[in-house]
Amino acid sequence: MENIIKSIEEYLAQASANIKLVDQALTGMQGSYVELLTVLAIALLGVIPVIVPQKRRQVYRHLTQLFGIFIFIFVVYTCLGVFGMIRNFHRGLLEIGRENIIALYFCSVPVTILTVSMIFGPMFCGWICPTGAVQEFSSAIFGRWQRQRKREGYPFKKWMLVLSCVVISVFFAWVAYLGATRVFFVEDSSLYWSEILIILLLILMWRMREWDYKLRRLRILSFGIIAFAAVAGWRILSPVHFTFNKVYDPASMLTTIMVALTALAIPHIWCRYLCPWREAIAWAGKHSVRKLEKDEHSCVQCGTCNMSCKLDAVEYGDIDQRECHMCLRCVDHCPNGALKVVEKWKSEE
Amino acid sequence: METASAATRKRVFLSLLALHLAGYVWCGVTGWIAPFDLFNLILFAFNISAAVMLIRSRFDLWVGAGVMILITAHTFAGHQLAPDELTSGAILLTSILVLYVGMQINKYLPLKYWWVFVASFFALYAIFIHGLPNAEPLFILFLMGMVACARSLRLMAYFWALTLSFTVGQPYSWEAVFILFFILTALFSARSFARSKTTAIFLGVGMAVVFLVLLPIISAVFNMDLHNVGNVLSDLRVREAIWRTFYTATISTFVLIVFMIPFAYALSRLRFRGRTLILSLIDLPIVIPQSVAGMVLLQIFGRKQVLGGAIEQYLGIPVDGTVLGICLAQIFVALPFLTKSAVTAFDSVDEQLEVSARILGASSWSVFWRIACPLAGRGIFLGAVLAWARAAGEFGAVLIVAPSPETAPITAYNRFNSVGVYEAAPLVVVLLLFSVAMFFILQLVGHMIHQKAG
Amino acid sequence: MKEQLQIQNVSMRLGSFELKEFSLGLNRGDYFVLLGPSGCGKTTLLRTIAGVYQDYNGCVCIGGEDVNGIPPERRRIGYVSQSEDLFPHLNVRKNVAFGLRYTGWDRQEQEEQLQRIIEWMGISGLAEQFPKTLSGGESRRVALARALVVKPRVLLLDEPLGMLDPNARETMIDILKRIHRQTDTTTIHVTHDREEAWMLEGWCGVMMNGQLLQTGSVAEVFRQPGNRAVADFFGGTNIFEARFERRENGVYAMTEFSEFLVEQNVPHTEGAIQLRPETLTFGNSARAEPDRKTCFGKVDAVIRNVSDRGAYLRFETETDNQAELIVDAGHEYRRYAPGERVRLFCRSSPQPLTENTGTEEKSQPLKTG
Repeated sequence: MENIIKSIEEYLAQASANIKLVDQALTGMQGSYVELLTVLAIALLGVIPVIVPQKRRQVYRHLTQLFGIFIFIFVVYTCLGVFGMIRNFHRGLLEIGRENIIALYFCSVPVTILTVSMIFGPMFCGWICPTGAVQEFSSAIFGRWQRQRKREGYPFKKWMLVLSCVVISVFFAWVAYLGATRVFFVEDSSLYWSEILIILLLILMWRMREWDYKLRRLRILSFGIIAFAAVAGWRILSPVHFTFNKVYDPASMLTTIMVALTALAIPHIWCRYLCPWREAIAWAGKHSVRKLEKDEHSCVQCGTCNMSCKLDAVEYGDIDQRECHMCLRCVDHCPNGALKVVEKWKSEE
Repeated sequence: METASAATRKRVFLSLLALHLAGYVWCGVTGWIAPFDLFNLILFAFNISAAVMLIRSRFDLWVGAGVMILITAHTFAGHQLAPDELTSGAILLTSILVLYVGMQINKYLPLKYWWVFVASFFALYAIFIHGLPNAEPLFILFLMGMVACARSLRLMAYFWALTLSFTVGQPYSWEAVFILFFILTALFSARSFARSKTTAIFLGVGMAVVFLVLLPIISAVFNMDLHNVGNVLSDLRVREAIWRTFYTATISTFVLIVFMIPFAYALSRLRFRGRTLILSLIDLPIVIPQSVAGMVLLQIFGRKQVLGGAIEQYLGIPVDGTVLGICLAQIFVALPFLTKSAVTAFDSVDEQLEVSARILGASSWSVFWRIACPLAGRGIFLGAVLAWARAAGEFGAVLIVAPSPETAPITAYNRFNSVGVYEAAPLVVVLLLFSVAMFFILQLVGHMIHQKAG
Repeated sequence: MKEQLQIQNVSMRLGSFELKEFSLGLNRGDYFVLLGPSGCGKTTLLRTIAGVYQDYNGCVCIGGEDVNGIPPERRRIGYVSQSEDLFPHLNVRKNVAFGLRYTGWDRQEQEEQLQRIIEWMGISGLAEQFPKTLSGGESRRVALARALVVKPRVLLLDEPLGMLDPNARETMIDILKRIHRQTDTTTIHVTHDREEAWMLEGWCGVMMNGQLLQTGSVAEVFRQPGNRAVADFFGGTNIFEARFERRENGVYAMTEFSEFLVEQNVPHTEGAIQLRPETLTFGNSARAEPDRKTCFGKVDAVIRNVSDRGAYLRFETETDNQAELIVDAGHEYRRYAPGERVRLFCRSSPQPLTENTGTEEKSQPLKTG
């Protein structure tokens, strides 16, 4: 008996020597495990929407979002926000074959996000993304007013302009203060994005109905700019980046606050019009196995889903796959169970 | 299988759990694994929760069993091979993902996809474990990417294009990605209306060769450093050379257009003795080596020669060493491109249209101007673009006839001679940008002309 | 009598096409349908009139003036070729207006004429389209408009109904008739299709091998073809060689299986006759000798085959001398089956034909009016 065990042991030792699967720990820079932990966490979080019970699904979702904020803001130093992730992906790809550990360090988070999105659907946006979570939580404050505005077809009222002006004055006051106290660098370019956010806010306050879907194409532009900047070697910092950096970065912080403030008026304003990763994930979601689908027979065109969706991605059960965050709110709200998550392994080639 | 009863599910999953427990105890006793290691306990707890969830859900029996077996096996074998806990976790997670997707592909998709999946797995293994040194972590990463793309052959093709570019194709990885994605996109979009495999293969192979030839240019564009471009452009000599190239080429093309297009129309419409001879003589500047052409020109138009001397005397400027000489050399080498294109373009205009126009009352000049020229316009324009590009890029003949007021190619050559290829690189990039930009603008205009005529 | 178009003894050769001493005269406002098989020289004739081919022998006069040597742009002729030849780089309006700027009319007049023609042709909805997007019928109409807009002295139409579907043909024929009524332009309409000649109701001529063989109304040419070639062209069946004999009650044509009474005056003794299938009927063999009013000849035959042609039945019969006769009869003859022996009667006079293709018989310049 012992002989057999010993021979098996020897065989395994020999096999392990030969296989040489991983002979070195997947440590990142400076022996840190952060990115590996992130990969594990994202992958596990990606499974949560699949296995979570349908009852109280939204509660679980918010818990996951909180966990996502925790992971991204307090654990991850690598992803550098939405823009940095694209830049680092580019850098990581170039390191393949030279410094494989650095390549892993830079590529792991984007690859994991895209992989999860391509298999389990674009749920990163709705369940994990910290920027999305910040916007969702902040927009929940005025949730009732937002729903009412949507129901009335986005009318323009004067006090909305006042509200926008308050937001804008916060921005300008802060910029003025910063301009007086420190020198701006190219790195502070996330300010440009918050300026665009403000312009968007004004346009959308005034004519949300006409411009909503047209302006969503800005994301392509945003992605193009960031990708070009990555290839050209420019550094453009994103909102929420300040939390990853040990250095004092008020511009990024200001942009984060602007994202949260503008989301008070228009839910998910960053995701809708500017987020470059939203574009990439939308592409991945188009090829995803898991999709939301309407059951034509049980849908009664009641329009409950229209009101439940914070992204205006669903209209009487018809889902715009490019805009869907897969938060599954419409599924939970549907009185007839007409919306379902389906798995389609056969792709339409 | 799918409709396995609840009792069967319970039996299968619980017995797998029992297997794990038995193995755990056994290995703990024999000392193969550390029984109170946190990771091993977590794995066991993980398996328990998996079993509980799988029994209650309607998840596929076989995939569930596979996942549980994988966790069990990882406890006893995989974890022991891994250097530390987190790496081990990553390996386990990737293995579960691969197993899950592989089984689903085997179940729902044609067998072809399954074989592509398996072959890709081993190909990745070969590249990252055997091919590249210390690339094991990337194996996991690329495995995830492969798994995500596995359910569509088209995505798989793009995935492999990307993977090969960044592993085998380094240091030209982005160039390779660009080329391969372009070829794949062309092939996939062509397949929908041309069902012939032969033409698709021809297209793919032909494009590969074309891009290989163009690789230096694509590479230069990708590795462009915009910072240096500014420095080069601030050099007065370079700016003057570019401007000179621009206007001499434009003048040469204009001269060619004025004289050669009516000539081409006559060649296309008339049949006369010696026509074939003239058509072949037009091609002569293409076959003559450029330096030879320059010397031949110098022998006639040099300031010591009869004709050149006469020109200097009456025009007041000599031919060699002046802009006049540059233009002359450019006209000489660009002549065949414009003339030949124009003849072909006029040939393609239906003569019956001209007959109809004549009967409607148009004179022969009107027919040329209002029917033949607009209809041949696109061909003529493309010929003019070629002639312009040829004139602007002319080096050999211009170098011999007029080396002193520098055109852009000669500036590049002089810079190369004096400081070498690396120092000349920014200038090369600028000239490349200039030519490529001009070329694309002209092509775009040509395209618009065509659409208007369409 | 001043004729709008006068062609006298025009001969020319162009590859395999040729005109042999071709003569034709048309008055102002004539609509002349020129019939002929493919390759008989119709297009060559039109292009000679239009002035595309200049080196011919003979004389072409338009409006009384000899146009020899005058280039096509100064002849003021409308020509619609088979392939329409619309200018692909111009839209429909500019295509139609193309000829106007060479007319020398003032701008106002040009514009009015353009509007009028576009309305007549029913192409105002297509004015901004390009020829590429037009259907067959539409581009024909545009080509016709383009030719008519300059008020041509002679309009030459080369197969204007070719390659059109039946509905488009009907529309086009209506347009042609209406336009001819309104403008009264001398028109030559060239076609190879006999049906067209029937539908257009004009004067028609049959052309073969570069010669005009016969002219007259469509019914005349169809019912009384002058020679065998014309008869063949109009679907010649039941043509038999015959010898003509003058007797006291008329001229008889003797074929090898029977003899037939011929009403027309026949100048020659050798030739052929055509028995039109619809003029033949048959009955049982035991019928009395019919008189001249109802019967122009009779022959015994055996029915070989019957086929239903929709409006009538076609019987293929064979006489005792193995001569094959085609009979078209109404559906009341359905009871006759193949193999039955019948007696055929000729109900109207057979058409005497000259045997040859008519090379020695000069076609006379047509006089109409």
